[in-house]
Amino acid sequence: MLLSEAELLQRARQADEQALGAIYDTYSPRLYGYAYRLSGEEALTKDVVAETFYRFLLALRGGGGPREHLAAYLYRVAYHLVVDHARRQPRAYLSLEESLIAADADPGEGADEREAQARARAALWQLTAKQQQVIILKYFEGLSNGEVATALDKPVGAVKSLQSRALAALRRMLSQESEGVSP
Amino acid sequence: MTDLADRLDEAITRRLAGQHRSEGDLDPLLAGLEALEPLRAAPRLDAETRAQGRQAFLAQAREVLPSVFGRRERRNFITFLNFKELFVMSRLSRVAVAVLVVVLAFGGVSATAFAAQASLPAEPLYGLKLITEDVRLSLTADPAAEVTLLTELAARRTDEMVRLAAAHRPIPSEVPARLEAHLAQALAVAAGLSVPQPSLEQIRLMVEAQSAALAQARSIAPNDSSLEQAGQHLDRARALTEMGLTDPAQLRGQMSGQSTPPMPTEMPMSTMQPTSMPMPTLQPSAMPMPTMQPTDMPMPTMQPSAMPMPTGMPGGGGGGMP
Repeated sequence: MLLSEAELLQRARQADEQALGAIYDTYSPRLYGYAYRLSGEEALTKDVVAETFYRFLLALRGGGGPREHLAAYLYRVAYHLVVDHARRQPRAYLSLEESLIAADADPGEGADEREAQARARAALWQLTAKQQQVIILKYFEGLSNGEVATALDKPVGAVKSLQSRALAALRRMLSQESEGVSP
Repeated sequence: MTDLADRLDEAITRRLAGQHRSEGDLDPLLAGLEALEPLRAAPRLDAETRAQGRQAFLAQAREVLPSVFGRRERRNFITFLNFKELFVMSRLSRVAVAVLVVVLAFGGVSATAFAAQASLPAEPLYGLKLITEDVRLSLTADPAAEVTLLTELAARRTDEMVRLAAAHRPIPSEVPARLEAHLAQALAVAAGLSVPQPSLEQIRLMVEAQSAALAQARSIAPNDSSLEQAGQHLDRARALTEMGLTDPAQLRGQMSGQSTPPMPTEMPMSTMQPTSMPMPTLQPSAMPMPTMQPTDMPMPTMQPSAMPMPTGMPGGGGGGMP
């Protein structure tokens, strides 16, 4: 029997294991991809997924947590966790050089892909927090403008503006990179 | 800006729909998205890691959300006598509740409870059968005896499935789920024993016998998904049991670290969705319980009352990084 998100959340509040399991099954792969794209670290990504769901439980126990838009809520928590981690180790996220060094540490199969990812991630982390989220949630996670707006607690118009400014910032970065200027 | 933002949004929507075409003056902006394209190749969450993470999540739910899970305190007969709650939680049919009330009122508990033992899922007295099983579990204090009872209950679930299959009746998915709960709990309790081998051997024998019975049922209903699930649960239990007989410490780590409640003081409600067994793996948990290193992630043990749930993003208008 397929339950709506609202029904799932209602049952989750009643500690219904079936509902909780369904929530985990639905959202853990999505959160995993999301956190990995942000962090690029598999171990951290697993921790973030686990911690996100743990905090969801704590919120339910406290009578809080989402009544709807569960995906937006979980993405928001996961983003906080990745940012908290990034605050502690900012260089790896901010510096393209550091990212490339990390990517080159294992020069085996897929080294080029890792390097390309490191470059893309370094560019991503040059954006503002909300710009990052708009780009990842919409472009990679497939959320609609409305869902992104919910995740960011912003109107849809603001999401479009953030998206536009994010792409403008990325274009500037690309220009600087082609001119040999470090971003 | 608004016009540009709207046009760009439409162009991105087209691109996401697979319509790659020239967007004129927007192309330089869209090139920024292409620069991020390598991020699309994120690794997938593999099935085993997800199963372990799910297990850990549900185990935490039992701890964090005790208001419902914890209602069934062992030997707490006040809970047992709360009929309204029983009705909701065990999904007893109205008939079963009525029978229970009448029986208790007129003192015919034993006869009716005895009659209920032969009932099958979806029959009126089946709820009563589950309740009596719960009571028996509540009254069983000795862990070794608890394993014995749980193996008996697991055998009952298999027997029910065999009888339903023989009668060409549908097998509710709750039955293999309960079987899994009994197996998981038996393994968890056995793993916690100082000398687990006799109990593990008992589980192994039961699993072998029930696997054979189940094979017969599957010959009758080869496409029944409940029977297939039950077979998988028994196979997994067999693997875990063999692991425990070879290396009890490994089983103990497996059961306590990522699966069922490690202490035999927490019993699964027979009427709730059960705890499932961990995958028998020699590898340590790839999806750890969320007890991150303090230097990595804050607040895993924060009190919920102090837990600031996110209402916005850090650095709202500023940079993504501090």
